[in-house]
Amino acid sequence: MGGFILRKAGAALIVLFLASVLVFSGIRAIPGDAALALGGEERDPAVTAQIRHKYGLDRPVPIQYLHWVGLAVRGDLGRDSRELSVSHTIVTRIPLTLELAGLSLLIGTLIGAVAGVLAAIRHGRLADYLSNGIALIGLSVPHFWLGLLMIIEFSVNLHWLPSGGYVSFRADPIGNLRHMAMPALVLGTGLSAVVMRQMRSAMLESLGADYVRTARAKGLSEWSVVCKHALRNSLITVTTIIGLQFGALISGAVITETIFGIAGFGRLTIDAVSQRDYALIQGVVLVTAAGYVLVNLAVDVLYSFLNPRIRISGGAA
Amino acid sequence: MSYVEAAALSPASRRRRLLRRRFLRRPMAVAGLAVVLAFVATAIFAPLIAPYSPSATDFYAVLGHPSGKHLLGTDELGRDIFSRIVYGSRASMLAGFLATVLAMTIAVPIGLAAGYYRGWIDPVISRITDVLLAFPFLILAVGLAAILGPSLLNATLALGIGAVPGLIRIARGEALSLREEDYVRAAIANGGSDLTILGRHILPNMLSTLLVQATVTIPVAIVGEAVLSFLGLGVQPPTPSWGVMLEGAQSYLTQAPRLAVYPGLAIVLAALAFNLLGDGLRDILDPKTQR
Repeated sequence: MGGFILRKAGAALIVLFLASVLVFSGIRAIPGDAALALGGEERDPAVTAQIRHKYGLDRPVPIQYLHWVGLAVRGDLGRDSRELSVSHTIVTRIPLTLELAGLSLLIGTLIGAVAGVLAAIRHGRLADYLSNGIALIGLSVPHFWLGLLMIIEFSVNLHWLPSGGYVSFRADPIGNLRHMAMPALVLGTGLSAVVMRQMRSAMLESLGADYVRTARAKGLSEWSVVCKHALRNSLITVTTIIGLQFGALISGAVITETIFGIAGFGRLTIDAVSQRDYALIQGVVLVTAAGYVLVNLAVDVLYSFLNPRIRISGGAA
Repeated sequence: MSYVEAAALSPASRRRRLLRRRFLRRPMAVAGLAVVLAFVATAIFAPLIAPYSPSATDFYAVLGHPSGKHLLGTDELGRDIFSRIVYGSRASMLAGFLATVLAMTIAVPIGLAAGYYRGWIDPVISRITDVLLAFPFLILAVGLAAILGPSLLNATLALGIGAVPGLIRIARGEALSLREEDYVRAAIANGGSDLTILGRHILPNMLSTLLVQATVTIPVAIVGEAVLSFLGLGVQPPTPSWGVMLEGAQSYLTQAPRLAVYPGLAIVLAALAFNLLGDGLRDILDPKTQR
């Protein structure tokens, strides 16, 4: 068990290292001299040299990388173009996105799992076709369009919900949920389509397995067969899928936060790019990659708890 | 009569015939194919189909309702929405097909090499795939737009690169399992060169999987193009694109919500058609899902 987690953690560290190299070299691939860009109108070579020295741009690239990573590990991602701490900006924005992502995961998993199980139990019947059709439409409808439609209907026409903005949960719990309802629903529905399709095929597979036949043969109720035997084994597959959806969730958060005017981590990403604030872009991308690696490590560990075979055989994947 | 006819056919054309018959038995897949072809034709023949130029403004008909003159109404500058959607299909189809072709061209050889040669190549490629997967496609696209500047080409590039890691995994998995097939072993025993084995035996046998993957990658790229253009990272206005149109519609949600409805419907219809086609192809090509 310990060995398994250590091996997975080692692989995650390697991925994280390569990702940081990629982020670091990506920023350096931008055409133009960073020192000149930082100097703005100032073209005096002495000033440029001074800037170059201040940001360590006159040192060898590997040394620059080590310096950058060393600071990043200690939580210092440098300063953005307005001289604000990048780490501080990111840390203040992340809770909003976490709330959005958490609510969407909740909505997506609940709808997706229930629909998936239903479709599998009613395989080949109306409920199956219906949930399959809705899932297919759900996969084809872009988040941002769904968001716009919801704003038109629930904010402009019905005046039920605010069309954008954010209030903190501590200041006004009801207001917070009212602001979060539409964004979370938008992000959650896309996820639910993916979860539903996976859940359905996983359930169909387990429902056809020998142990389910045995469970039925020994006279267990249908409820107990479905929930205790088939569902438990299907959840393993679905856990992995949810882990893999982290990237889609972040991408979705970028769009959803832009439409609903939530000043979260996703919005920060777009702002950083439109302002061409390279320190901020670097920080945001690095944090995203680190988040992805950590979530997948957590899923791997969780997976090994859910499925003892992986633990024992050491996990081929 | 039909027996004689069937016997005269080669195995390949008989298989093709069987597949065509299986395909025609799936109305949703056929409908998907029809809509896909319609969108492709629209993109190619846009100037013949659109009644107006996509950039022709008419300040006497601003935010006009749908009418005989303007099928879907006009936007804030009096431009014909229908014509803009017709022209917008060009950006979508271009991004969808080019990104998929790009992703396949990069991913398939790499995946083949990893799955066929194993050895040190496989773990190295798998690790690099993991690294690329750690960057969600939108973050990747955002990064690329920051480096290269926003344009349709760069958005397509980003969408293509974003699809590479997933496709590498699929190609690798296929190559890994095909490599153990008896006919591949026989070819190896016969002394066939690696290139012959990969090109003659492994690649043709994974074509159906790749075809299905391509059909489901295209709609992802189409939606991706719309998203990137919506965020200002893809097609730049005034060039028409469904994402650009939706971005512009945001300011008129109260006065003219239909501006936000029609381009979105076009995206959904296109993506849905490709997804239906992909599902249908998967059903007829993958014997595991045969009922």
